[in-house]
Formats: sequence, C-alpha cells, structure tokens
Amino acid sequence: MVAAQVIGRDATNRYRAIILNKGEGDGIKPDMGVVTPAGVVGRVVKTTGASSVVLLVTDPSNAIAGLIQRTRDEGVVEGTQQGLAQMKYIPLLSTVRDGDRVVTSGLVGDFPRGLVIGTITRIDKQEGALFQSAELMPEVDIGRVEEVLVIQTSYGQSTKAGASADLPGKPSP
Amino acid sequence: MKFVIYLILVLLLVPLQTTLLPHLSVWNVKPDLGLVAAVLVGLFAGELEGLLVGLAIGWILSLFSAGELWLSLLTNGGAGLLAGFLGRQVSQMTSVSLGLGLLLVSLVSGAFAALNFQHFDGSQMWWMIESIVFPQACFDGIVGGALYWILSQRFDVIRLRTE
Repeated sequence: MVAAQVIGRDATNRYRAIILNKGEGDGIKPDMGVVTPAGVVGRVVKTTGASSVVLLVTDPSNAIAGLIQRTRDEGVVEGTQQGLAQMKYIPLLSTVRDGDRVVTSGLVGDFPRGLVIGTITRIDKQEGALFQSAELMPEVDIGRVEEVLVIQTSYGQSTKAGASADLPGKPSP
Repeated sequence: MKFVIYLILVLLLVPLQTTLLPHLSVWNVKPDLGLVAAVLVGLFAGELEGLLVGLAIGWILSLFSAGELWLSLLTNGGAGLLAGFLGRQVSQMTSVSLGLGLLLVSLVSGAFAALNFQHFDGSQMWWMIESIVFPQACFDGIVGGALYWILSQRFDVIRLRTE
C-alpha cells in the first residue's frame, strides 16, 4: 500500500473525484483501490507522474462489487446523485435490512474482500422488479478525507504473485 | 512574452481550479475558470490564440479530472475559438453581454458533456443539467463578466481588443 495525501478535488463539477499527491512515479496505476482505515474511498482512474485522480465511491460513474456482511448477498455498489451510494442487484429473497453493513466482495476489481463500504439506510423493493436495491451511507466521510492508502496489489494479483513466488523454490520435474 | 503569460495562466489555473475553488464552491458547484480564461483570451487575442490556449487549458485540466480528454479539449478549445469569432463581430462589448455570452457557452458545453454520460437515463441527465450545468453556467457568466469589468476599469479594453 502507498500512503497519499489529498491535494485537490476534480477540476470539473461533473465528477466526484479527489486528486492525490502520488502518481505513476510511486507505483500507482489506474484501477487501483483507494481506502482509509474507515473503509473504501474509491478507485484510481487517471495518473500522471506525480499525481493521480481517484473517482469516489459516491460518484454515479463508479461501480464496486459489494457483499452484505450479514446475509452474504452480493451486488454492485454505485454512487448516487445525492452524494451517497446504492447497492444494486440484491436478490429478491435476501433478508437485507437497515443497518446492515456492506463490504467489498473481492471478486472483481482491485479491492480485497471485506473492506467496509458503508451501512444500509434504506431498502428499495419495487413490485415486479427482479432485484432489490439499497441506499448506503458510505463509511468514509468523503468530504473530509485528507489522507488515503492506495492498494497496489489486488487480491487476485497477490494470490497469483504468491503462487508464482513459490515456484522457484520447488524442484523442477 | 505572450507565451510566458499564457504559460503562467495555464499553470496557475490548476491549483486555483482543483485546490482553492472547491473551498469557495456554492452547493458543491464551482465556476469553470478554464472556460472563462479561454473565452477571455479568445476575445482579446483572436480565435487562433483562443483556440490554442483553450486546448492547453483543456489538456492540463483534464489531467486533474476524471473526465475524458477529448471532451475537455473540445469544450475549452471550442469556447476560445468561438469567443474569438464573436469578439470580432461585436463592436460594443460590455461586462453584461460578455457574462450572458459566457453563460450560453458554458450551458452548451455543459449540456454536451451531460449528453456524453452514456449510462445516464433521461431523469439523471436532467438532474445534472438542473443542478450542475445551469448553476455552473451562471457562475461562469458572473465570474467572466466581473473579470471583464475589472479589466475594463484598469485598461482600455477596446484598444486591447483591436491590438
């Protein structure tokens, strides 16, 4: 992980993004996950030599694979226009309720499993719909975040790296 | 000399737009100083310089935004070019007419950017225009008009525009 400071906000009003003081020179690449000790902040979408742009979890263009901690139901967490987040594609039979915690599922993207994304505040179950959705309050106060950690090795990559790291030590057949 | 001034302007815009303005934003909306600068340069220095400075601003600001590069180049470069053309057609420019022109340019470029959000449905697009594009266009118009008024108080703007 690389620690970085927030040095600015998106140059336009159209995206909810922050700018970090670390970039390609520090090993940061697009699609890397960004967290604080409280939970998920977003993911890197653009880098320069010494800075990077992180699309926040509250941006409607962002999508992270999530998991309801209690029920183990999976879904996709996206930002909302109101600056919150919503979890979509929750199975209709799920017993999800207000106050349930949503964490990263670790199946897709560059977040390891189990990082807190937010807490469910409202369930939206429409008649005739194939799935239900839930509104989340992000765990991290996105407006006040000053320092973050960039996850340089994804869950999948670290597993592969660990597997390949074992190979040189093994006797060749 | 002009090149150095433009370079300083472009480089100064980055910390202003990304670090200072978010603290001065109203309802999380801040003016687009890049667009304002491109329009003012186009107005005073002609369409070619407006286009080039607009492209430079678009490129550098896109490095610090999650948005697409081509969209930033198109809106800022296009605004500089358009301002250069319009500036030669309008003989009596006032801060109010410039503000209104900037409002329109910002509205058009913002609406174009909103249309580029392909995953947005109609209601989301309308929300974006209503709560981001329109307030920002008003902001841009006010800031541009105010800057022009300040310039016109300190310099002979008619001479500046004809030089």
